[in-house]
Amino acid sequence: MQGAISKNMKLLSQDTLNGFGSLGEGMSMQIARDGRRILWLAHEGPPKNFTGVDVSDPRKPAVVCQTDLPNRNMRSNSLEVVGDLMAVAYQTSEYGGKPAGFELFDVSVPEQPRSVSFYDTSGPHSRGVHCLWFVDGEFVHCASGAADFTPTHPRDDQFYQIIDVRVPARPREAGRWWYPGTRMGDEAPPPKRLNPQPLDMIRGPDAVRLHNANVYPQRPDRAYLGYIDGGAFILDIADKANPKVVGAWNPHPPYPGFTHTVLPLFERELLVVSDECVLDDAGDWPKLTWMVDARLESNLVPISTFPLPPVEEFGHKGGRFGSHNIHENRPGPSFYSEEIIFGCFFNAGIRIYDIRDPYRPETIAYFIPPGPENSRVPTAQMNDIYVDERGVIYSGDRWSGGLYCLEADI
Amino acid sequence: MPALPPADGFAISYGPITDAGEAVRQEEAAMRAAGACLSPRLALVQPGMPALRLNSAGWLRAPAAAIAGLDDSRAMLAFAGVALRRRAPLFAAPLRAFLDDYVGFVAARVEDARTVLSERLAQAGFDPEGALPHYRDWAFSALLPLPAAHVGWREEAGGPHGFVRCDAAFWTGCELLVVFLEGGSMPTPRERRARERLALLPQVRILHAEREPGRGWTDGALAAALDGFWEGCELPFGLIRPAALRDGHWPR
Repeated sequence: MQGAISKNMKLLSQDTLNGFGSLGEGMSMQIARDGRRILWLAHEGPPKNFTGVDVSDPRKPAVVCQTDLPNRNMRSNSLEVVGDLMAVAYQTSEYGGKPAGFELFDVSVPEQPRSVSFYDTSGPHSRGVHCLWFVDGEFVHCASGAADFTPTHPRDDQFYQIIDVRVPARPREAGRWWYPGTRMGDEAPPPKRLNPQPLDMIRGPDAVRLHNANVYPQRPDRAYLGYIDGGAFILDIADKANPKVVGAWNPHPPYPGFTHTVLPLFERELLVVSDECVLDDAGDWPKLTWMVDARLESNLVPISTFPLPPVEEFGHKGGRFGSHNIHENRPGPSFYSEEIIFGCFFNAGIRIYDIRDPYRPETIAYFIPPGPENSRVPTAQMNDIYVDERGVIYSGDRWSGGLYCLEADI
Repeated sequence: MPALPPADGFAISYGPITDAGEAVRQEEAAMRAAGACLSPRLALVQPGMPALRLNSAGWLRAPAAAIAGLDDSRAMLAFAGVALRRRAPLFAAPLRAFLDDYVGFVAARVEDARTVLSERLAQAGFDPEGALPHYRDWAFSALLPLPAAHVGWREEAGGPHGFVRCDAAFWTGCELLVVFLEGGSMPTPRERRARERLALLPQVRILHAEREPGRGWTDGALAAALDGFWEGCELPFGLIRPAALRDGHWPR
């Protein structure tokens, strides 16, 4: 690809998705009944909801389905598919907006997704669901507001909810947990703000709310939470109605906040914890990906960070520069590794790390596409990543570049 | 088409190392010059060499006082198990579990074969329940696992080693058993290609160990490959080979 900077990676294809190449944080793969491999993608913002792309041949991706949001005052941003059942997040632009929550779709015919049910989490102080995790076909783990939740700070509106979807037509709440002090009426005081921002700013930094909640079949009794400025948590969810904290770690402060994803490496008793960069031009540098020793859940110890290219070069190329989403070893048709970590770092592109020595993560491959046309910023902003069991790497640009399919010689 | 066996055999660096090539560079020349085949970090094996066993000299560098303080064969086997565990990298819980299972497997097989093993000692003129050797000393004839092994071989004479990383390797005297513990990380494309090249080499047998719930790692094909370890051994002895045995005679 002309203008790309790469090491040990090759672009197989790029698809701007019919001109709607703004992708959020939802990438999930379905093996359809006819054997096709459909990658479902959630869009970053309106007007599109989600797009299904046939990536059976990753060199020739083909859009098979593209849907619109119910209105332009919302975004999906996140989705997951298990078998033929897909959960799509709905987050509104304003508190109290609708529809807010998540919708379940039957995608047994990928070209014709059929709505099965809608789980409503709207409320006067709620924007609905920002991010969800659904891998076992039974429970949706999500960051959401709720009708009965009044946060102590408006930006702390989304907390951890476990929704039972074993009867997909009738989702029901199974449990919830929030950071103590973030709900009106809590005994604990509200958490101290890390970087106070104006109260009327809905998005951006300065939030103690959930981003990602990951739960894996190896340990169904554990939830791994990235709670933005609240840091990382491990919850015991053996009793889903009463989640309990068993481990916590927060480098913020002195670090600039926004813990995003906590990826457990069960065999190795390690965690990969990624922050999210949320400001352009290195405004919140350094936004890091951390290696954490989790041999004792009750005493999580950071042991290294993933190397990044120099901020002097990337911090001023335009757009965001720093950590964000990583490939999460999702159950299903997914590459599984506790030694090779795939991440996307906005204008630093897609980067692959060897963490066999977790004290010294090593960059073994990267791909930085040129800035796509029609983007808000001059650089590519690689926003999310998924690797299938064939080793094909899928990544999405946040603004206009759409879907990139790649392979790595590692 | 099967590949030719590597002319100078295999160089297997093992344990908590980060650079297999460096481990080989640091030790290979000196070991070959001294006629040694085993150190705490490196094993040099090729057809014609005897099996590497728990009682093979070189892998365990324990102070004599530590060994002397062990009361009996069971304590000595437990000591060996701890030493093996220490060869596993820090963040390798399944490998440590495998090594624990293996030591348990060895002890259990000796007990299962107690009658046969006792009879062999008796025929050699020893009291199997005596102090030395005891029938449980046959445990130290078990094959030596090389944990977190990097199996290296030269595809061209004099060229650099290529390496394949595996969870454990065993040299049986006839073949190299290369063990991968299932359920962990998927191999990368380069690892997959390297494993395919390794599998083509003569004297290499790849084994995939699965852990069944409630059972150990050492079941099925792996157990069959590691069993019968006393065959080919004239007499048992412990972790430290007595000086008198070095010239082939056992003191009476």
